[in-house]
Amino acid sequence: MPVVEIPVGPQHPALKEPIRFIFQLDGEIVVGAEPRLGYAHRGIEKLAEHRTYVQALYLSERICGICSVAHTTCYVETAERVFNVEAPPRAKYIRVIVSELNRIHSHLLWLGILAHEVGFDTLFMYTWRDREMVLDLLEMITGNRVLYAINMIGGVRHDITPEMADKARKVMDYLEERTKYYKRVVEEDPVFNNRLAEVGILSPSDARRLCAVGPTIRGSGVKTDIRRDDPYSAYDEVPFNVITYDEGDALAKTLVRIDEILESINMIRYALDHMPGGEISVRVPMRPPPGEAVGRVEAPRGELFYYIKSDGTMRPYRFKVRTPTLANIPALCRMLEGIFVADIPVVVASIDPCIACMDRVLLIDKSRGKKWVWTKEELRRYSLKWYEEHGRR
Amino acid sequence: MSKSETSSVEDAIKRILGDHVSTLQAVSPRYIFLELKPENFKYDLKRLIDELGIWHISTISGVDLKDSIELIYHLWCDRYSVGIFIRVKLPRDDPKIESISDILPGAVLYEREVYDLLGVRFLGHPALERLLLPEDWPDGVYPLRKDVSLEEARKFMLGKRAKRNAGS
Repeated sequence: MPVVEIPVGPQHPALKEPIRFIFQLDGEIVVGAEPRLGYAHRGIEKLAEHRTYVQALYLSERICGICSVAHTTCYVETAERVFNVEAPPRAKYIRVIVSELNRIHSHLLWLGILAHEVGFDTLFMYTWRDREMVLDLLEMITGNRVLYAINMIGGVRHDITPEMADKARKVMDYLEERTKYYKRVVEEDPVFNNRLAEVGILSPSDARRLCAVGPTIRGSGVKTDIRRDDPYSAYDEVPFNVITYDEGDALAKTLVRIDEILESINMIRYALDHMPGGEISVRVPMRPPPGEAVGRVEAPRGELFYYIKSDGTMRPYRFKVRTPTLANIPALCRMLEGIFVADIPVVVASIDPCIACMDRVLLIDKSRGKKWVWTKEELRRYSLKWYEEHGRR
Repeated sequence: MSKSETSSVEDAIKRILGDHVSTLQAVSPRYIFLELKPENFKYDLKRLIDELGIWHISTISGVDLKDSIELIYHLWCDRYSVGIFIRVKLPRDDPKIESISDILPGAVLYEREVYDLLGVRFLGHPALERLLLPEDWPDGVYPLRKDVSLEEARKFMLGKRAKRNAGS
């Protein structure tokens, strides 16, 4: 049978951003995958060079809606190094709390999407309902549900009052119980086991060689986490475990994220109990001295990287961003090799892409010169049907 | 991470690279910047990677310094928990350097990004093609260079879409 090429993407539905893949297929097996990126390229790096440092902060928050706190935390940590200022200790703890809340909501959102991809829509509804509790907490603390605008160069904009802390503790108790239940569902339910175990395996050596980041590399047993290796904010004072699973399949990546929710819950409890008092921000001059700085943050999807160069003016001379999903694309292409077409949605979802989308699928059968278009929803239905017919592999 | 550990990485780098490394500066307890010459760049980088056991590259930052193009390779060294950021300056009229994607395969997309946005050619790269810019973006225009204005970049970004909107 000749190798058939299938372009997948790039139009995007509400949840995921656009990316296109060209899959080379030998029958049902994917033998190669080639990504085409850039559909969401907005030229933010160039734009930031024409904005002041304060304006660029708000620009950075808009790079990603889901991990927006990770972006502003990375921005302010990097900018503070350029400005030679340090946020007060209480502000650093508030950054940790908001970042971990952000991680919980991001992981719950992802778990729901994964459940949807494998046809388990009840779990999708459950996790998204619980995610609302986190969004309510974030709204209570920051005033916003999605773009929180809490970080500023030199501190944070809102304090956490004792009443807020009490409310947060109650929600943490509820979420802990729910997350443990979801973990049991993922471990025991045959649907998850059938669709996730031994699918899209990334070996530890490939994960290192291709420089994967975040839960993707930790699901392959490589113990690396920016919060531990290169701590920022107050992460050097808040104890936590770096979660790893050795199997490297989609199930391992799922369990890494569920365990990380449990770790985040404990970190938030610890940070609420041990928050030092005092100011939450310091005054910062309009212009930084000439210089440069690097910042790295563990976003929900992995290492987020910023580089800022200053020439002493009010605007950054160079503003460079590398998001975790770009770092995981080479590893994703490796994971896609050798899998069934029906597993594509699950494997693409397993890196928690902040871009991936397969809204529309164009199928070309070279031998017959035939073309037809699939939406992502049709690809999902195809994969569910395929598993109904073929059962467990 | 104590001060003595940072200096022990600095010592290790000096021992490995000798006089090939021109400036070496620890900007914080965990970050070191150093500069290499483009001629021996790949050979020096390979020795550093092999001897320090480096396997992670965060990204490659390209900066247009107006008289030259500066690349910064942001590596992370697990063994010492230190970020090693390697600077290399290339001539602005014809910037080219050997690709490192064979020794650090994680760099393959970052090199394409720099090629796309700053016009640096990476010799020996397996597929040096556009990564982010649209297909109708004009050749030879690199948006992150300082001589391309924001308005120009915006015009090229809209490309055919702008013409289509104007015509309709």
